[in-house]
Order: sequence, then C-alpha cells, then structure tokens
Amino acid sequence: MEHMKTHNREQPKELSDAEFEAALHAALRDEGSLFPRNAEDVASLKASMDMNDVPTPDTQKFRQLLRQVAKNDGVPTNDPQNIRQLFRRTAEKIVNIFDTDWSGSSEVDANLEKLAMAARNGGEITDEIRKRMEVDRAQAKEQIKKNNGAH
Amino acid sequence: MFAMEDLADDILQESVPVSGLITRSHPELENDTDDGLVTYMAFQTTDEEMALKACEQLHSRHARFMLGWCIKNRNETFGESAEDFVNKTFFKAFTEADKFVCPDSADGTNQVLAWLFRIMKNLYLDSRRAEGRRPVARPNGEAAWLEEIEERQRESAEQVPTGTTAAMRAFLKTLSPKDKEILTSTAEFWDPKKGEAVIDDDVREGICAEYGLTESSLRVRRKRLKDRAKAFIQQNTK
Repeated sequence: MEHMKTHNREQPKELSDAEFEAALHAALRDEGSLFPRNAEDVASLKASMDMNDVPTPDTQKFRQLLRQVAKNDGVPTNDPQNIRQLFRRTAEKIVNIFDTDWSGSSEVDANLEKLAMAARNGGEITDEIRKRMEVDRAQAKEQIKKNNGAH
Repeated sequence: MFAMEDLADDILQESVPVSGLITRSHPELENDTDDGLVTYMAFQTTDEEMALKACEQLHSRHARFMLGWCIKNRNETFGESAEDFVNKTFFKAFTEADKFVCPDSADGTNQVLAWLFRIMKNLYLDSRRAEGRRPVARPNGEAAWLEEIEERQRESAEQVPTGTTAAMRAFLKTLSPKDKEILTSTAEFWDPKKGEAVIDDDVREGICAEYGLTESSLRVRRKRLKDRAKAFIQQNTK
C-alpha cells in the first residue's frame, strides 16, 4: 500500500504526442544533432563540440574541384561519359521547356556550346557514345511530339 | 544552369583521390573577415581568381568544423560521404555568395557558418529527395517555409521542462544509431502548429529507401520509439 502511494505521488503524467515532439526537438537541439540554423546555435555548437579525432579535410582536393566547377560548370569535357551525360541533361531540359522558346535558353545554349567545345578540344566521341546520344535525341524529340500532341 | 550539386556529385565521383594532405591558405586573405571573404566570392564575375581564393580560404577555416559536426553529431546521416557533403556546401556557397546577407557583421563568422549550415541542410534535403527516386525540385519559397517552422519549433522547445529534456537525452543514448537517426531525421520536420512531424513525400521516400523501410513500417517504427520514449521519460522524470 505504501508502495502504491509513493508510486502515485511520484509518477508524472505520460507525455502527449505534442509534448513528446517538443521534448525530442529540445533534446536533439541541445546535443547539437539538428542542423544549427542561426549564429546563436553555431556559437553553442562551437562551445560544446569535441574536435578531437576530426580529420583535416583535403584542401588541395577541394581547390582542384572548385576550380574545375568554376571553369567547366562541373562537367569535364574530356570524358566521353560526361559528354553523353551533358547531352542527356540538355535533351531533358529541352523537353522540360518544350512549350517555351528554348532556342533562346542560355542554359541549353551553354550546354550545346560545351558539347561543341568538347568536340573542338579533341574529346573523342566514340561510336557507342554517339549512338547513345542519338537515342537520347530521338527520345527527346519523341517526348516533345507527344507533349505537343497533348496540347 | 543545371543544379550545382548534381555537377559536384559527378566531379566528386570521378575525381582521382589526392594522396596526402596539403593545407593551403592565402596569406593576403588571412586578415579578412569571413563575411568579407563571402563578399569577394560574390564578385566572382568581376574578379574570379580572388573569388576562388576567398572560397578556398573560407574552406580552410571552416571545413574541418563542419566535417566535425557531420562526423560527431550526424555520423549516421552522412557516413563516409561527410567530406563530400562539406565540399558540396562550399561549391554551392561559391555560386550563391551574392545571396548572402550578414545581419550582424560583429558576429560575421557565426553568421557565415549558420548560412553554410543552411546550405548543407538544403543539400541534405535534396539528397533525400534524390534517394526517393524523384526529380529534385525544391518548391518555391521552401526556405521561408522551413524558417517559419523552425521559429515555431524554437518557441515550443523552449517551453519543455529541463527534466523532460534531460530524460529525453538519456533515452536517445539508449537507442541504436539507426533508431536515433530515424527520430533525428524526422524531428527536422516537426511542426508544432500541427503537433507532428510533417515530412514532404519525397523526403519521406528518401528516408525509407535509405533504411529499407516501407512508409508504413517507418511510421510504425517511429511510433514504437515514441511510446518507448514516453515510458522512459515517465519513469525517469522526477
């Protein structure tokens, strides 16, 4: 009986769903598991985070990649696979904007220009890649026709 | 232009790993503030070389801290791709630098870091959507929507009694990394106004795909974790 009394006195009420979510959020925020979203969160994370055993990122690799991204918009044009990918993306973009004046799209023009650059720079487009590009192009045309027909 | 993160994906996958670590910095930029570096980055069309150097300098100052957060606090989320995520964050920061506004230059470093973490969060959400096998298409105004929810989250979370928060933290320590990740991933979407985690379909599909769960099994698993947490807190709160 004594036990029951103690139990009843000390046992808090179970959390509601909303209280659970709030407590979960507060706990995760406290331990820094949620993305910090403002300067205050960052300051608190800095104060609490243990940086031991954290490796130093490879800044040389980053530098190379950043310059590649800046120079080529991230698509190296000397790799046939990338050329095909670039073409596929361009074709997709054309399909996506089929009902607008895509010929004036700077994005499409830029990608086509890159394809041309790849060819000029001697990026060898193999027969296999060329065939795949033709398939992509045919599919894109087919999609445009289909979409135009639907309007 | 197509999404920079897609391009960065391609490069990161295709690049040849560089052996050894070389820490580079640009002495001429060492005394510049972080928000000053972002300003140089924003002027990339005027002086691209300076913009690139500024981005490298920013990376050399803060990439390790961000990597540390990924590894120590969200290892289950990022795993081995943590460094790639950090690098992609800086690529995106480079292209989006002109959108950065520093509301308090006296606290510029933390403002810049908060901005970088917001970029990383959006990249993370996009990657979840990509795992859901749907096109990555961020709805217009999503950033504002997230901020609105986060503000409500903060207000509600601040009202939680300290003892309850401490008990929840103790409960989280008892979980497997996967179970904790399920709660953490979904907690990012908690909307106090609705009283539940409102996760958009694409992201939910991404989470399911990553853990090999169906949507209903994700719901069931989360509910079981919630029930366990409630019982644990009830027993451990004075």
